[in-house]
Amino acid sequence: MWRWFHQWGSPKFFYHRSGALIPVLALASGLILGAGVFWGLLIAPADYQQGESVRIMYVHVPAAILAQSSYAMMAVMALISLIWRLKIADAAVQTVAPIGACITLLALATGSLWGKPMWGTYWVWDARLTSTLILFFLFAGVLALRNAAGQSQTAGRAASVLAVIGLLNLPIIKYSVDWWFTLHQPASFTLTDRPAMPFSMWGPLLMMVVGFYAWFFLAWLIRLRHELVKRERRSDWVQQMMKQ
Amino acid sequence: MSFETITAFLAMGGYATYVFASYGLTALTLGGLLLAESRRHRAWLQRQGARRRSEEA
Amino acid sequence: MMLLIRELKIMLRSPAGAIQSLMFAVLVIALFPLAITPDPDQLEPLGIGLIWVVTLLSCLLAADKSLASDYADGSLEQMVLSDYPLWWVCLVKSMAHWVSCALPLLLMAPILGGMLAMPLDRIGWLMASLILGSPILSLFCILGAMLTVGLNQSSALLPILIAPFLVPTLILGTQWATTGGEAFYGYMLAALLCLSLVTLPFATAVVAKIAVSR
Repeated sequence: MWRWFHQWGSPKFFYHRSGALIPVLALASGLILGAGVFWGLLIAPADYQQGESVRIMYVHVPAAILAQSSYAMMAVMALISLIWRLKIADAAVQTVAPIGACITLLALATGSLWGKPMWGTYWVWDARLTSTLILFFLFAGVLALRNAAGQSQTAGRAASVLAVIGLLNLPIIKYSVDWWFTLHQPASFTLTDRPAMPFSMWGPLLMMVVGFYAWFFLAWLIRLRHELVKRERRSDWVQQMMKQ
Repeated sequence: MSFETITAFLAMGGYATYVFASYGLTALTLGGLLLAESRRHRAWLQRQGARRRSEEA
Repeated sequence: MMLLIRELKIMLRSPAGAIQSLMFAVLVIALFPLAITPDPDQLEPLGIGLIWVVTLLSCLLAADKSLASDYADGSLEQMVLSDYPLWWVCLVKSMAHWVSCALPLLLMAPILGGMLAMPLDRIGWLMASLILGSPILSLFCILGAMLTVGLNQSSALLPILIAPFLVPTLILGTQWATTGGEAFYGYMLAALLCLSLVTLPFATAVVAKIAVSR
């Protein structure tokens, strides 16, 4: 069993075996996202308070969820890379950071577009958007450090430490932003108690979340394979592969 | 179907700009990243092939 | 202990760093009335937040240089290889940073508060929040300095890396001072200080080993 895990740590094994996953993930994400968009945009009901603008939720919420989990995944990979010194884990950290940053930006942009019809302005300093903004800065920090420190192994380790520290701080940051917001909550947008979401709304939402995750793993996998081949370009198996 | 006519769908109860902008951005981001990754990989492979060929020559 | 004395001696020999931090803070505080309004009624609610932000910025600026000379002359490497427990070295560095950067600002806080039309009791709470909160800032700043030591990058890199981690301290510190000492924030800030004191020196030590192996 342990050996099975160990196998996946080798770049060559990983590259050859993961190739089969790509069409599967592509098909899955395409179908699920397509179905989810159709369901959310066309079939799901409008909200009695927000009208049709609630449909933005079907892209904003999955993006926000993915933004946070991708940071967590990056930090876990970072921890693995630090403890077990696996090159593939380090490559995983390097490749997931830009994707995570882009998804966080998407969450911010869609959140802002949702905010305009809901609250009247493009940006509001509410707890969730502010935390997402800080999450973006956390991603930017890891990217900046990686960029500045170069491609060496020590650079990877420094960025990994930063990612792990970021993950440990994330709950503290989230709580403090929540406290900050509830203290200053302006009267204009008190959070009224909403009734529980009916299936006609959380159904498409769940589907979109799953679709986003499928897309994420697809994008990450393509990027990771590219990075592995680039790093190992002098090794035999890559040379062999390129001759074909 | 939540909409009676296509016009109603396109109007999105007045929120058309926001809803379609969000979905458009999402499509751009998700699709764009995928495209960019595959193209980058393929371009790199091509360059490596070209370099090898020039070395062997 | 010897290390601590050495650090303090180095700082006392060249107080330029402390004076610069101080001048920077006073200058920035002076910019706000110039830019916004001299009206004391409008400045007063902003005062605590502005002084906290200025303290944060000063700490970040000072952090950049704090380890540079140690790295350049090799003494950082010696400290890593020496018998001293590395976490203690990092803690001492943080204390040195606090004494040279945050402490002068703390002492200047009444004056800065006065410049922003702050009443005396609020100044008191401001200083209390700074006393609890600024050590946390220093601990994080030294962590950041260790992450970026030896890289020839713009001095904006360290703030970019560390600023998100300073947000909780900023929020808790300003809330505690603004609410005139609401116990919840005080306890949270104290808890954060204890947590930082116990964990950050070790984290910095891990980074120090990485930094030295560059």
